[in-house]
Amino acid sequence: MNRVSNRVFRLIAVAFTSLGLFAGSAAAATQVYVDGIDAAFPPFSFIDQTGQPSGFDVEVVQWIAQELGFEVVIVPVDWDAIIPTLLTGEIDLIASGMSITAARALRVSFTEPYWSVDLAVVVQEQTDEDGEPFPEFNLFTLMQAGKRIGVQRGTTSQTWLEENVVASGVEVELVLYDNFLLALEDLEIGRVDGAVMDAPTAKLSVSDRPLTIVGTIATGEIYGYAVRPQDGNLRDLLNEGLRLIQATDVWDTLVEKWLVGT
Amino acid sequence: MTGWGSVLSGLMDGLSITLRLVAASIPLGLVLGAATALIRVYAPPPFRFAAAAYQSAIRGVPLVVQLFILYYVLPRSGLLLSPFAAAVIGFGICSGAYHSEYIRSAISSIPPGQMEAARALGMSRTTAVRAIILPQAARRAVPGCGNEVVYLVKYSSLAYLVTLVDLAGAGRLQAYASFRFFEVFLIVGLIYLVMVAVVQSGLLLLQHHWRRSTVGARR
Amino acid sequence: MSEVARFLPVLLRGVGTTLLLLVGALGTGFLLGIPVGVLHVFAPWPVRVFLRVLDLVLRGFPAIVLLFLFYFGLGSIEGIHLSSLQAAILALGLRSAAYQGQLVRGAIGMVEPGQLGAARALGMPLGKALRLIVFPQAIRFALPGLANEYSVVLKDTALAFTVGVVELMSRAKFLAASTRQLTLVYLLVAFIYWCLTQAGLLAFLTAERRTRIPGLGTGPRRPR
Repeated sequence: MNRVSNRVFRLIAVAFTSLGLFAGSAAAATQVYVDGIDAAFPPFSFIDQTGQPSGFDVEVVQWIAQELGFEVVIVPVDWDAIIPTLLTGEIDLIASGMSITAARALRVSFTEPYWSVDLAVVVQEQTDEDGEPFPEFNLFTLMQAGKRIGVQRGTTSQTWLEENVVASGVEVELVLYDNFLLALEDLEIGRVDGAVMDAPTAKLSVSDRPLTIVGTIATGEIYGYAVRPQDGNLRDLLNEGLRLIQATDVWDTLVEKWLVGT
Repeated sequence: MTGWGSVLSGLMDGLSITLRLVAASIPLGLVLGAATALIRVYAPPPFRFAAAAYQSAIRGVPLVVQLFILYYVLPRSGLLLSPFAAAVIGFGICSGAYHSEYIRSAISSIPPGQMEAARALGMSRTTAVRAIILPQAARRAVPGCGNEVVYLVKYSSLAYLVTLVDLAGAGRLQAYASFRFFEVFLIVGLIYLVMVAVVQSGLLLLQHHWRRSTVGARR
Repeated sequence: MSEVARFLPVLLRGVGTTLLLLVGALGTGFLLGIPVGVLHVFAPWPVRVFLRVLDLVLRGFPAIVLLFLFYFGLGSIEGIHLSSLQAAILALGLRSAAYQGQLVRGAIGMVEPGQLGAARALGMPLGKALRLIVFPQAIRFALPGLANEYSVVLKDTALAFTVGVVELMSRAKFLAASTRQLTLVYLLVAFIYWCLTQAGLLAFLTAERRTRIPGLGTGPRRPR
């Protein structure tokens, strides 16, 4: 080891470290907004089999970006960390089937609502001796002390169960997952007794699994896009975009493509 | 937004899970480690190779991946593990691979003359290992294995990835609920630090105790 | 097996970020570890106590808690804007710096102290003596520890997805969710990580061989 190779080594180390440290903060020429999505929340947002973002919200935002002349970069984020990620500035908006709630509105600014959903309760679908399918539990037998119910961390499903079931004394065990699809996987193998999630995701996901929806929780929650409170301009931009797209048949086409049957 | 009372109570729930996890995983890891080490030193070649392969696989793959495989992949072959079982087995298997390396080198560091002498006296290999080799090897392996136990206390924080709400998982939930991210994670980290310090003190005491009961000083 | 061919390109896109994290963290650790190690040996005691405290925190906190602390914790402070990648490299890098500092300290200690004494007696300033005489020899002693550190940091990068870095583990989760082929995806990912570990260990082994000095081992000094 001589001085030259020592210096070279150190230089390379500095170069790489700097590269790594500043990799995230490159600036762009046209206005670029970063959209954070849940990577496993079909039909609204998900990463498909080729690694590309896809889904209803993804396509709507991409259309709006094109129409109104800005660029949008879609980035998957852990759902329970998505609001902090918005507030740190790493993403600029959340367009991913996010329900407008009072608690969230304290932290972020929402656009006009663009869709409404209920929550669905999913259980295993079993078959009896005649080959007839029947649900393993119904709403009453499921919401009992000791039953394990899977939800995604940081969702209205989690809060609804906490505030309406657990808080009223029925000690169901909430099992928290990174995303709903993992909860469904565990439901299929019986590690949880039921799962609660937004109805569109439930209906889409049970169609090709031995699962069935036994009930709906009519929360009538509404989806909106979220931005930081100080980004009023971006919010107005998105609102305008939503108004524009809803006036065209692109909206109907997308609804037809992704949300029919939900 | 929740207040400090419920935040701390949530963290304490997580802590109790972590303590149970660690208590169950440590013995499992040590047993697996000792067994693997013995295989690597004394067993016929095919078994030695299998043990070495196990060590290489575990040490070359992140614990996250190991946990996911135990929890999400095994059920597809019929083995369904509860979150707690998956976590304990995962931590046990992982720490076992590291323990086995420390124990193996401890066994190897014992002069082979001792084994020869034991055999010459008519002892079976098993008795010789049990009565002569292992007690000495255990003492020599304590620094390394102790180190690994400290690591285990820290990487038990991955349990929340298989839906077990341990201290780190509780920290994440409480931080998100209270929006006091910095304070909550600082507290969580300090609690782990305290646990680590407790383990390290325990190890020092153990080594001190054993040093005093060792037969005479070496040349 | 066509599925393996389909999945690999998707997963390998994550490997780039994993390597970025790895190099960034190890690099930070190396750059900071050297001064830390030197200070541990030569600095006045207040500095050493301060370093000891930092050391305790960085090595006593689990990696995942450090990641959370740097990303969510620092991010919640007004005025600090860290991206996932920056926070992850910082967290893993500072942690590695603490470990590498210990490595450097130990490696310096393994170089015969007489050499440093002689150099100083000849009038060489401390910095020069360290750079020209101690470090070149200390590197050899530090290599096995560095190899281990490489392996540890590589596996820690698999935790970065918890703060939003889209590296190999993230890609694996997305792929597993969209294809539902959990078995194949996770086994494939395990294999990729294993290969990366082996490649690194091989590199370090080669480095150890290259820097070997016949007659001078890397073990502890034998008492004369």
